[in-house]
Amino acid sequence: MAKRRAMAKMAQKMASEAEADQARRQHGGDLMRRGAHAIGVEDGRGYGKSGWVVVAHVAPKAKVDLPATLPCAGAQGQVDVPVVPVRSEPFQLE
Amino acid sequence: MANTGTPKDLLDALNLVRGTKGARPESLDALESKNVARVREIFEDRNIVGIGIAEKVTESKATGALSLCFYVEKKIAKSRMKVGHMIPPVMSIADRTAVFTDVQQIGKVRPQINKRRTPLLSGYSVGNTVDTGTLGAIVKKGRKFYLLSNSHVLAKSGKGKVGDDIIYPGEADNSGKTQKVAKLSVILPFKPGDDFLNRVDAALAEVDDDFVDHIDFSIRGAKPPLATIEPVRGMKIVMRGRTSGDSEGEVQDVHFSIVLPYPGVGKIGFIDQVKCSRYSRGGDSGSLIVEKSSGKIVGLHFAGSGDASVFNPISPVMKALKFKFTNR
Repeated sequence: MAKRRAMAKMAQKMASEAEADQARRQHGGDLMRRGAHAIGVEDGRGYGKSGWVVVAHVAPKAKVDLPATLPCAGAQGQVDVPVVPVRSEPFQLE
Repeated sequence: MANTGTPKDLLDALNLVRGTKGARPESLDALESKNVARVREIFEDRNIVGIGIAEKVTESKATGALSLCFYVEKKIAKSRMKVGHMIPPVMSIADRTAVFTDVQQIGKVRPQINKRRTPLLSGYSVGNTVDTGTLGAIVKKGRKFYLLSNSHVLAKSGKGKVGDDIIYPGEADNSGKTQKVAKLSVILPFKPGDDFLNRVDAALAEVDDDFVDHIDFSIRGAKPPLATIEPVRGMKIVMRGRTSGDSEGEVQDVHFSIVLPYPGVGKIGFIDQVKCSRYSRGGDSGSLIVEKSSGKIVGLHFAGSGDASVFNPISPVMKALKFKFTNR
C-alpha cells in the first residue's frame, strides 16, 4: 500500500511535455536572468529524470544560480518541473 | 608553376605519388618503382584527404626539414595499422635520392563555399552589401518571385530599407564583382529585449526582372509538390548551406527559447524555436531545412553553436511573410 502511494506520488510529480513547456514559458525570463543563455524542453530520460524537464543552457564558465525545479499548475494540481543545467557554448547568428 | 623555392626532389616525389607530370615510375629502377607503386596504393586510402609538401613534424615539434606530407582525416596509431598500409618514413625517387614523408591530421575536408553567379539556387551564397548568408528558396507571392533568407542576411536585421540591393553571391564571396539580383521588399522588424517575443528571422527580396529567367527552383531534399511539415523530436533533417554544403541533423527540442545578440540591434529573444544536433556553420544562415524522409520543408536555419543548430519552424515564417513555395 505504501509502495503504491509512493508510486502514485511519483507519477503525480512527473511533468508532461505541455507542463514543462508551460513552466518554461512562465519562468524562462527568470532563468535567463539567472545566467542561462537558452532554454529548452526535453524528455528527462536523457538526463536520468522521469517525465519532461526544462533544460537550461549555460555558458561553460558562467556562474549561475538556477532553481532545481519550476512550479507549474498542471491538470492534476501543482507539478514541479525539474531544471537540468547543461553547459554549452552560447548560440550565435550564422 | 611559379617558383616556390621547393626542392626539386620533393616536387618530383609529389608528382610521382599524384601520378601527374614529371618523372614516371617507368623511369625508375625496380625497387624505386615498387616503392612508388606502394605509396600510390596507400594514397587510395579514404583516410588520406590530401597530399602536399610541408615541414616535417616529429613528436609535435617542427624539424625544420621539408617532407612529402600526407594529410589524413584521422591519425591512426602505428600499432593499429596493417603493415602494407603504413606510409614509409622515407620515400625513394629517381637517381637514388630520397625524401622524408610525414602524416598530419587535418580532419574532414569539405567544400568551403557554395557560390555561383547563375542560376539563382537554394543553398548558395547571397546577401546584402554587408552581410553574407545562404539563399533559402525562391518563393512566390502573387505573380512575383522572391528570395527567402534571414533578416540578418538580407535586411540588416530589420534596419535595412525596402529597395536595398541584394547580391548573389554574397559580398564575402563575389571577389569584388557585385551582381545585383533582387531588391529587399519585405522586412519584419524584431521586438528587441530579453523577453521571448520573436518567432522568425526572415525577409524577402523581389527578384529583378533580368533574373526571373535565371532561376533554378530545386531545393535540396525537397520533393515536389512542395509541402511543409511541423517539426517533431527525432525528425531527421537535411539542408544545403553556403558554408557547410550538404548537411544533416536531427531535431532535439521544439520548444527552444533563446536570446541572441544582433549586431547593431541588440538582444533579440526567440520563442518556440527548433534545436537540432549540429548541422551548420557560420554562413549557413538562411538555409532551408527539409525533413529527410518526406521531403517536406520544415524550417529556416538562423543560428548555431559548437554543439547545436537552431531553425525557425517554417509555418510562422510563411504566416509572417505571406508567400508560397513553388516549383516554377
